[in-house]
Amino acid sequence: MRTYIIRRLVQAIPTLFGITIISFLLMLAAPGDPVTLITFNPTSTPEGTAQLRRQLGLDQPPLVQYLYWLIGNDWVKIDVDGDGVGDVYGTRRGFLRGDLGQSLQHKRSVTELIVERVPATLQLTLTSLIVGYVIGIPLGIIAAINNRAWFDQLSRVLSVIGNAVPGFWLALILIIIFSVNLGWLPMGGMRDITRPAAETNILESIRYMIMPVSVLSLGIIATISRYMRAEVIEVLGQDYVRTAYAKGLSRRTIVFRHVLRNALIPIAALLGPGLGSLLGGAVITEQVFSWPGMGRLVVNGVFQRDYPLIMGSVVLGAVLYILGVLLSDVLYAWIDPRIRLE
Amino acid sequence: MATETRILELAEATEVYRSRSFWVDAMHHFVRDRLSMAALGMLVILTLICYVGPPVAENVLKVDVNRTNLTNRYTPPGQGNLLGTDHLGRDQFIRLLYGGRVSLSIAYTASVLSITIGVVVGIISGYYGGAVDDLIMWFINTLESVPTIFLLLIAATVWSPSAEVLILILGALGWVTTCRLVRGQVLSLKERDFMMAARAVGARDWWLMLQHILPNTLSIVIISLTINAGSLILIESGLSYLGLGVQPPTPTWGNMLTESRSYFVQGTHLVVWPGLLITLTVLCFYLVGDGLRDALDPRNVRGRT
Repeated sequence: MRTYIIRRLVQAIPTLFGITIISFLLMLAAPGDPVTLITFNPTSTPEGTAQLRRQLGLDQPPLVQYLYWLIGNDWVKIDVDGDGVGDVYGTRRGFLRGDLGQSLQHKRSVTELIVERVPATLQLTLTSLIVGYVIGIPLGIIAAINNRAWFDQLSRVLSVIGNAVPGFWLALILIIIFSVNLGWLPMGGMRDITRPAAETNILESIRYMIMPVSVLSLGIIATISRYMRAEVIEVLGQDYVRTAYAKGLSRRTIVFRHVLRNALIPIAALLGPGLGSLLGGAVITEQVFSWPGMGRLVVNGVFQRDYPLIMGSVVLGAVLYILGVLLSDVLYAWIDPRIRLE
Repeated sequence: MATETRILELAEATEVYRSRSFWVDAMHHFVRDRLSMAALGMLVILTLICYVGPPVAENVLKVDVNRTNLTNRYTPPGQGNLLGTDHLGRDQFIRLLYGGRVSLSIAYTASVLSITIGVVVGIISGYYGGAVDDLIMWFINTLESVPTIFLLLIAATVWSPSAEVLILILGALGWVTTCRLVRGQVLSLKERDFMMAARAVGARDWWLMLQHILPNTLSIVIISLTINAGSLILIESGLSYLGLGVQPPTPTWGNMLTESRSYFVQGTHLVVWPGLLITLTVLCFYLVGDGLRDALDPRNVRGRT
């Protein structure tokens, strides 16, 4: 098992490099210069702008820029005043040493900014994932047991609808109904910002989470229940289930002891991409409900052409995705001895 | 001689008994699936209305898609305007029709584009294997591990989005799943006897790919096309919501919804209708895709009547 995990981690390295290269190329292709955005004030001079470009390393050829991003520039002297002679050592330590650079817009470390925002996003997405599985799995089981009956048909249509509804539209409708018309739930945000954060108790933050979590978990419920249904139906057709029936076991015992154990295994494989997309999955929902998470940070970064911030979030999101898939593969291999690790 | 004819007769008889080809069989299966047929019908109707309808509606209802009327804003549906008016007093019905045209065009063309890329890359990757396959798989793994929405966000800001650019972006980012499916199919096809036979009589690589592999990926292509078109409508509307889709005043269902979010207190109908149309269209695409998957699954062939 350990060699398997190590091998998978090693395999992830080229993927990770690919991601850094792709996102870097995209940044390069972007028109508009981040420096012009920073110096968008009347007091900036051409000399000052040029100096800023040199300080940020934007005057370097793309390959060098990429290298600085990857391994930092504290080992080269940067020519700040433009006379061709290096003056001071750079300050960036590079991605490989855990430094994602400085956000141009916030003038703070990208790592810090992301770490600050991640808990809010995880709070939202993890809850939705749990809600989605907790509702989706029983729904799929019931549909499978009542194969082709009205409940099954209903759940088929509902799950397709669940995937077809645009999340932000559903969010708007929920806001119109529950916030504007009924006034039961807050329209957005994470807590009452007129009072200090410490005064917000769990019950109150739940009120802020109800709508975003419903929107996010709907798609998960739809997907999981479909998969679960298909798995249960397949397992119900297996010989060992027929044997169990022949033994005279009750339906309940068969479903819970024999069918579920086997049907749940493939669902574990879905958990990986689910975990992996936790960071990126809520971008639009966060936007609708003004949820102060990663999604809003990235969207703002994109609009402000905050390259270090975007690069950092993309790479971090990808790392999380790779780890999520790895985790679920390991889990999968662990619970199902039939899967050989080669 | 006599036995030979007898065998031939027998063979023909079996042929007659099971004469329906895979495709005819699949079609029979699909036609019997009422839900999917209804969805397909709905899609055809929606498409027709959106492409043919606008000029007709403009003449019959005496409305114009771009005419604003600030004294007549947020009219609820039914009072002079079929589906009411928006924040500039424009008729919502006609805008929905024009918007549907744009949204559906984006969905159809981007879907065709991404599937084409997926099939070509998938066949090449699966057929040649080796280093080519490794390189392509590396690229696919890379693309897959970045949250798509991040890539879309970046791409949409980098190239400011007109409908055409959006199609290119969506097409360029949406081919991965199809490519994986096609590659898997090709890998199994490669080992089949008919491939060896074709190779034995001297068929070249391009002929094998075009004549023997491509037709066998057709079911994947058809299913992916419909499902993709549905997802693309959702993605387009999501991007629009973030302000990165096709820009107003060109209407799409997505950006109509985006505009409406600022005015939903005055005009709830402006939120409801574009969203309903998006949901309905995507739902139909998914149902048709589902039905096709059932119909084209070779495991379902036996036991059909």
